[in-house]
Amino acid sequence: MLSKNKHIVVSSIILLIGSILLINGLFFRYIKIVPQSESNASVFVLSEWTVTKDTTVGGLFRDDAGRIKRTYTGKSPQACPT
Amino acid sequence: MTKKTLITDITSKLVPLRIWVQSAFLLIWLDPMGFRLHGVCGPVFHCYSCPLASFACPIGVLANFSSLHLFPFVAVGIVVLFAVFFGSLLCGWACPFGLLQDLAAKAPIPKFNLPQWTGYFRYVVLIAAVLAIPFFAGADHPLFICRLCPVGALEAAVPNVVQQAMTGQQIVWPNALKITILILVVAAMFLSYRPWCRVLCPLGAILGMFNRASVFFLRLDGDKCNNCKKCHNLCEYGIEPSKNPNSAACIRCLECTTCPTDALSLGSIFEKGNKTSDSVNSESLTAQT
Repeated sequence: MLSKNKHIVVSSIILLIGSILLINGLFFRYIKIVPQSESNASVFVLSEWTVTKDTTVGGLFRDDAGRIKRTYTGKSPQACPT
Repeated sequence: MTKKTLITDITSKLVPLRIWVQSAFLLIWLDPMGFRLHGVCGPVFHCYSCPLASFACPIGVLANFSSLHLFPFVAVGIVVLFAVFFGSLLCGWACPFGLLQDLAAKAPIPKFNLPQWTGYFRYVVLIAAVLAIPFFAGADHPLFICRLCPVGALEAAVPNVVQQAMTGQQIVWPNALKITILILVVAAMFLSYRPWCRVLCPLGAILGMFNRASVFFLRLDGDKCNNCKKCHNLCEYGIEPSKNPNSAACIRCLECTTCPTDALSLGSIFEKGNKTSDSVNSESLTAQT
């Protein structure tokens, strides 16, 4: 059981954590992506929400070297392959 | 004694109309305007490959990011914010798959009660299929959550197969395990109340963890509670609201707030007074028993 004051404090702390996570992801997080063709010179960065959209169509994978690579060239797939 | 609040008044009027409220939320999840905002997650279980999905599925995003060894700040931030505000109220009032199960449960077929301990399996699904397997084995593993998910099978794979059949394209069937799980879950939906939510849903497992600390919570007024246990009968999920009103297994359908003495109600941290969140007056309950 939480007392009312503790409840407010705990809720507020979790709200703050959630807000920080969301703001960081939306505005400050960029992820390096390697295109499907093997060429390190053309590595580019995408915002997290763009990466999120890409993952919903199975557009990214992690290769053996730990790099995040696109699974497609040109137009993205229409739906997730699963 | 807790006074009646605006929230209590509104919820008492809405509880009999819960199915309609859930149906109204479909207007948000099913993207009537065609925006397709798949860069952000909705706080409910709805497959992003559904032809009508407005938002990305938070569990799918968590799993995919786990396979990429990345932390999904946006997805986790959205889930945490919604969870700390509402807890599992989203399960009982907003989730489209929850609505489907509630509609299926209306079929006049005898229902089986699932034991409470089966609810722990949600955490197994969350830790294994959503986090660990994608992290260690990648998104191609057969037990990757999206390859098993019956929600995705029903909302995305089935419409996809139908569309392929109608347009004369080559049909791409979901894998056999996914079809098997779909059939079992759909059958269970008619034979039990919300089997997916109670036993398997990883998002419900996350949301339920916030029930004790959420801004909106179930308040039990110990002064009004006469320990009649009618709330135990009103609860279709085997929870005892008079003992544990903010259980992590609760989907907050709020059926128990139709308690005859108004002892159970939806409360919030914005209300005045210094009652405890669960507000169980254990001394008065002990005296009554």
